[in-house]
Amino acid sequence: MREIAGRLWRHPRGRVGIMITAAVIIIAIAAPWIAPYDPYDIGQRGPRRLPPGPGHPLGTDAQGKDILSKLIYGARVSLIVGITTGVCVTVLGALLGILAGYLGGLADTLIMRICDILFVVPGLPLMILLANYMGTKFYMIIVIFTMLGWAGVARMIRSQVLSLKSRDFVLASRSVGARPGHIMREHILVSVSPLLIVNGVLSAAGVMVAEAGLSFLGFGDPTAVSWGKMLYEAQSGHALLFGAWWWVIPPGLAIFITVFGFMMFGYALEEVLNPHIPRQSAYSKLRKGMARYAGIGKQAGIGRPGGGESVG
Amino acid sequence: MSGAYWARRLLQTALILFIVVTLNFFLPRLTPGTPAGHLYNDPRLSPEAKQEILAQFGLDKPLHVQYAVYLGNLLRGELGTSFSYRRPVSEIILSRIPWTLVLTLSSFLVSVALGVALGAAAAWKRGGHLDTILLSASIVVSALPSFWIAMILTLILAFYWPVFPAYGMVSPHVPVGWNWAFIGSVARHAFLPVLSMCIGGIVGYGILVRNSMVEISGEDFVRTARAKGLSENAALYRHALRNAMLPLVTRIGMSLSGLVGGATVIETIFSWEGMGLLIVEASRSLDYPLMQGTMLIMAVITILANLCADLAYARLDPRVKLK
Amino acid sequence: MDEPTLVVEDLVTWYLTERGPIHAVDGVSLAVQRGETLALVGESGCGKSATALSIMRLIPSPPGLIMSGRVLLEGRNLLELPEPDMCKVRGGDVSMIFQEPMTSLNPVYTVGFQVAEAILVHHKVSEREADKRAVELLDRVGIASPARRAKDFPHQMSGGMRQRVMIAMALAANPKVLIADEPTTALDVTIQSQILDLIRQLQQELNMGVLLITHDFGIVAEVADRVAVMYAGQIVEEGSTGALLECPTHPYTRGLISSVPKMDDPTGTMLYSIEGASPNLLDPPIGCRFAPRCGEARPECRECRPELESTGDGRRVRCPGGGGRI
Repeated sequence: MREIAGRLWRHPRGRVGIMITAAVIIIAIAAPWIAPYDPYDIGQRGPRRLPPGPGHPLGTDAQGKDILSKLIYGARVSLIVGITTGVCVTVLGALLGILAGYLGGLADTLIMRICDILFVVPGLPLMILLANYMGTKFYMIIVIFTMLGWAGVARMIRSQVLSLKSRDFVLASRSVGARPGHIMREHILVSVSPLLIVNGVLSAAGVMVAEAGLSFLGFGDPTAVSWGKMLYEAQSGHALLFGAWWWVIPPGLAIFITVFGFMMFGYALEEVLNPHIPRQSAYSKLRKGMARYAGIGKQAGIGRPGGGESVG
Repeated sequence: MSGAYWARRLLQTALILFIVVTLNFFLPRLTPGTPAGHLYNDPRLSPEAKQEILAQFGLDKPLHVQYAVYLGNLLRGELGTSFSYRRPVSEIILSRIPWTLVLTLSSFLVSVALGVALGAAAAWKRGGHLDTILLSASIVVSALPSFWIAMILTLILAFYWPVFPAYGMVSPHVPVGWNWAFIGSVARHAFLPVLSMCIGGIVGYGILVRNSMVEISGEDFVRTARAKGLSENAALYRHALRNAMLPLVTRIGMSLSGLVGGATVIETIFSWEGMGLLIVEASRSLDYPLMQGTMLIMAVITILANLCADLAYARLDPRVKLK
Repeated sequence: MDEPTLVVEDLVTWYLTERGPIHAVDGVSLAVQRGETLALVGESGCGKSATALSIMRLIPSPPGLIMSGRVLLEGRNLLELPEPDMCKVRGGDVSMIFQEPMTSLNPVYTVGFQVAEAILVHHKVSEREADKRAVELLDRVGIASPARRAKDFPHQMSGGMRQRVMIAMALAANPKVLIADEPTTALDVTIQSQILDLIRQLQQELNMGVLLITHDFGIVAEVADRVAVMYAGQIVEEGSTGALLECPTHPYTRGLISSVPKMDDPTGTMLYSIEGASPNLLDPPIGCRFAPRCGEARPECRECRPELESTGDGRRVRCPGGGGRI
């Protein structure tokens, strides 16, 4: 565990990912202490629609709430929804994927048919409909995202499980009489857990974007302060027509940086947990190294690399 | 391609369609308040008026009768009447789909064309400049919400340098019809929305093509092609690209479903009256027949698109054994 | 004796890795005559395939790089040719077939198309003419119903047939030299001898030189006229097949041959294997590379790199001790 953390830190992208993610989490937790105002407190409203200036570095919104404070508090919604959904989607998807893949038969068919239906129906419209039917409290949003998101994870896990099922160590376990539950827990789950962790992190990132999108359309939690909702207010407040960039740029930038950090973290995790994937950076370095060595070759009379310049 | 395979496939498709249709029927009826809820619950209405509303929407009959009526209507292409528009849902949908297609088809074509070119070029010199840029771009772009890109683009290109219109589909006072003024105006209005959608698309397809080209370039048969005396160009384009197309077709198939629903957020930003905006409006006004109708149409189109994609893939890959 | 058709002189090929260059081919010299089969033998990873790919200039680059040496095809140095000329050589004068016929053929094109493509690269004929010749080639390599089979895809054929297709592609332009990289390793034993017979027969018909890469001494004994034994990127022994098999000089060669169980060994004989493992080519030892595993190693073996010396009668050995004789 500590070794993985160490390798992540040395990994260039991993370091960036960890720093950004940690920074956002700290900001979200410390919001009450670092935000200049409390956006939930009706008493702390300033003049409306102020451009950036003294007292309000990012201006105020249509109700007089300080934009900077909203930005800081908005991290909470994104992180809570993103991380919780990431975990739930991964857990549910893994559970159903392993069951479908390992047990096969009726369980498999049933679960896969449901996946098919979930893939067929367009995502955002379905989310909107469900939000209408089920309400838009942020915990409902988490439920909705989980309901729609597990299918992708399940499918991926299932194909992994299918290939693992026939591997020798599983067969050996079965031949000794291990029960399916035991095999699924001890062997299959352990094998796919790196995949799950990476998927969880990347899912969280994707959910944050999706949640922002949903809030942007007005279907997010109306009582919460979230970055997507800030963009919704920008849109409906015609910020674009009046050039109010301070309503538009900060929340989007916040979403971008947070998601970017999570994705860096996720990709670095993937490379650290699975060292077999040749690293992209290695190829760039090799190309530069090639030029140097080709120089030596030139001295010996050969100027040409092996002939397959870029093939393979 | 065996007939038995397609028969099974069609049966599966019909089953999925049936389930979707049924779900579509039950969902609004599962939530508190009847489907005509907000109309029905107006306290100013007399009981007789309420009864009449129910009867008008067929809601006074028992559930299974409603279901039968629903199915019957569907088979006739009758999707009900919109609460808010007071017009048949099918008519509304038909008038909106072309506008969505203008956006999604344009962005789809541009994304695929530029993406494939970009990806092939990047894979050509793996580890080179274009490759590194593409890889970094893909991570950056997938972290950027597309609606935010749209908003930024609007700020820059419609506000600070007013080159393009910030919203709408057509300038007012332009006569509708197949004339240059109309087409030109639509094109100008469509530029920003399509651009916003393309950015993600180009990078996405670019990465896909690049990755599969890189993987395939290492395959033995590319080496064989070179051993026969084919130049690098010929080997890559005739052998590698052809195989790299297969995952591309799969991905295209998956995005075909987005042709009708994929522009929702963009349409909202630009007040572009297509299917996406329709769903948003219908949801905001709780116009259930409209919501249901739109969902159904989108699902049907997705299913058909998947079927077409499978067909295309089977024709391209001779290894696909259709049992 | 005429000049050998293909001469390799001091070929050096490196594979660059993050930890430094791997000296895959370290000063290899060999020669192939027309009408003659030279077998290049050695264990996995000794550099035989890398040598073959270097001759064809098909080393994937990155990470590979041909550092120095000459490859002379009838006097022309292939390593100095501009790429378009090298393309004409590949498949035209020197052809290569590979070990895995399944993955070596493109799955989305028909077999006939792939053979015709080889013809079209080197001859200016119409497509129809190329298709016709492709069918003739398929017939020549022993594929039944060639016209019908030409329309098949690779996955519809057996391993042996696919290898025949590969051979047909390689012969499309009547090459002077055929390089066969372990052509039978991935095939069933029964098919192996068929393919080897086919190669032998075509060699005689076309008066080709054949460079056969293998790790199987049985195949060497059956088909090769001369043998070169490779170890850790270097040739350690070379000679005519009969002489070398009967009287191997280099300790490694002797070890290899002893490792092959023989029919008339008494029951209960322990299988012999050479102790130790092949050296790390990232940082090869200074002296003789086989010294760590050699039972007859002497101090001077580890100090300076032994050269390939002629011992007369067409034999060459890289062993300072001259090798013991059994």
